Amino acid sequence: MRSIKPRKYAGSLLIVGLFIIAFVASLLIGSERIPSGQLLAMLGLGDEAIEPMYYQILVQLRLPRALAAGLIGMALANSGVVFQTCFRNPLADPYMLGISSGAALGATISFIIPGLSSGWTGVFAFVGALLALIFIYTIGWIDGKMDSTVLILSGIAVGSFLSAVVSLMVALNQEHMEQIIFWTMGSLNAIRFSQVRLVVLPVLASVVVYFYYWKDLNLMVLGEDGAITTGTNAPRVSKILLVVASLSTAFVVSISGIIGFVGLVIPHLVRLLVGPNHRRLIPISALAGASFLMASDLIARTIVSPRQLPIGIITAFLGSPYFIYLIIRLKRRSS
Amino acid sequence: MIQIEDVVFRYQADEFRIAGISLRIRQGERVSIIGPNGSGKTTLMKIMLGILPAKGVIKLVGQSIDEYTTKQRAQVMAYMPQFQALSHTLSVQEYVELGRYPHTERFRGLQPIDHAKVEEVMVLTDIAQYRDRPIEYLSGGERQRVFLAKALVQEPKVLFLDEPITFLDLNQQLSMLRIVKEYCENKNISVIAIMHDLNLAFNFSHKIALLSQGSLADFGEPKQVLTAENIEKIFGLNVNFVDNPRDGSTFIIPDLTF
Repeated sequence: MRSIKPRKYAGSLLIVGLFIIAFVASLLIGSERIPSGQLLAMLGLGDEAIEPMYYQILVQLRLPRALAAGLIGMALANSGVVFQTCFRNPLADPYMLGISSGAALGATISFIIPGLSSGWTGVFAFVGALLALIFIYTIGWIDGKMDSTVLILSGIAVGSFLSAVVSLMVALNQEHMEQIIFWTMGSLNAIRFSQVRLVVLPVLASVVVYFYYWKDLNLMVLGEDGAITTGTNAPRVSKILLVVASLSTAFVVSISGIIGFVGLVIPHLVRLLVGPNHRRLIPISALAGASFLMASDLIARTIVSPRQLPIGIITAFLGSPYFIYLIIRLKRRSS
Repeated sequence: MIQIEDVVFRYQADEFRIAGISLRIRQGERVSIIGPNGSGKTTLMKIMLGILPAKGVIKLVGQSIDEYTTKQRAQVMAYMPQFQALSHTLSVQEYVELGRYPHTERFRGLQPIDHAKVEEVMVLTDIAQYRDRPIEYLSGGERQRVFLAKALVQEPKVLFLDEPITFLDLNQQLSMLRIVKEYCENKNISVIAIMHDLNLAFNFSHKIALLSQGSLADFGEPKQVLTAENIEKIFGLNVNFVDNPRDGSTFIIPDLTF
């Protein structure tokens, strides 16, 4: 008979290792390859002379981009964990409550308003995501209780409606089509330190909140009655966690556009590697999501260099085959 | 131990209501809740557990249930559901370990004493040999013992069992109830169980709460409550009572003509 005893420590170490490799690689590799000696020198560990051009590329371009990719990956992966656990639904992902379509509509509006600088895109996207969220939570909140089925269904309905509005705007404003499509597939091209500063606090704070509730998250697997009778106020805790996860997703969507599959796939992968205990699942998913996004961004900007692909294409290419594999595995197990 | 007075509850979208039920269950007492389907057994249990908010007084060890935090309640009451759908795969041991959470501090994992408790209960319920197996791979009887183990490891003063033997064959039904009886007698734990089998309820319980359409039809010792009149009135069945001369237990035999 099969037994499950995940190699918890080996799995965690593997992810930590991948995280370090992905971070260093995304600093060094690109259209201009930076020798590792230069990085060591910049860290004060080598005696090579630092080339100003390398310094510029590394610090001005690649570092903020790697940090942004890392933070976005962290936020999406952990939001995925929280959504899947709180909704008790393995297919839940951070975009399911209309955040992506709300953000897309906001961004689209910013593109078609004449004379608006590109800096406004993020603000519009954030506001769009937030309005969609507030609307959906208002519908899903019945008599002070949150009904997860109503929440999911209204997420789908509102999401489809907003996506239709975006498509309509695209059809009416064909000159912005490329811009809009590129944004809805996610991109880190324009990332600077200012955007990293914008998301760093919300993302790290959200990870702290999730970790604070690791035991409560573990108990949610029992369903609401089971969780309550084992000592956690499940309705209250899931309200808090879903709102935090939604906000953190709205923040990262506003700087990157919509990057799919991270929040869906990473939690499953990490659960397989380190087991279902959120004490490990939260921090290791954060690192795995960060590594996955840094690696995806590296591929996005090098594979057809000097052109850059939207990062969402890469995450979907890498994520969907793995997800299909997971579904087949699940199917085999249940038969 | 647990006392409810004039408890009233109504589902929002439903006509069904629990109307003015009062009960007092003493420490170490085994009480079966019986009644036809839809008579409010599970609802009453969920009210006592604090899952459903009801009007009226619910006292746990002399103190109103509202004065307890969710965690404090879980230190006093444990619940074994009839069926448990898990959203993610857990191994037997991982599942049982969750029952120790009410006794651990927020940021600390399980301590050696918790592991010892988990081990003790897994041995008692005879599931230690499956500890690393995913729960969904177990048979109905094994799974039921895992659910029981998680409830026992919580070290409750009151143990709630929602149809604990529904999916089990006769042998497993008896062994399950024997484990509960022996363990709870040793530790002086009160047991409140929803039962369908009148014979097992009769012989297992100190007291029986008979529910009918959301009201308490009768409450007392099995001999007083499970009378031919009551059973006919509530269940619509004609029954005979036969004593087993070998062990003195009582059988309730319904009219079995089809």
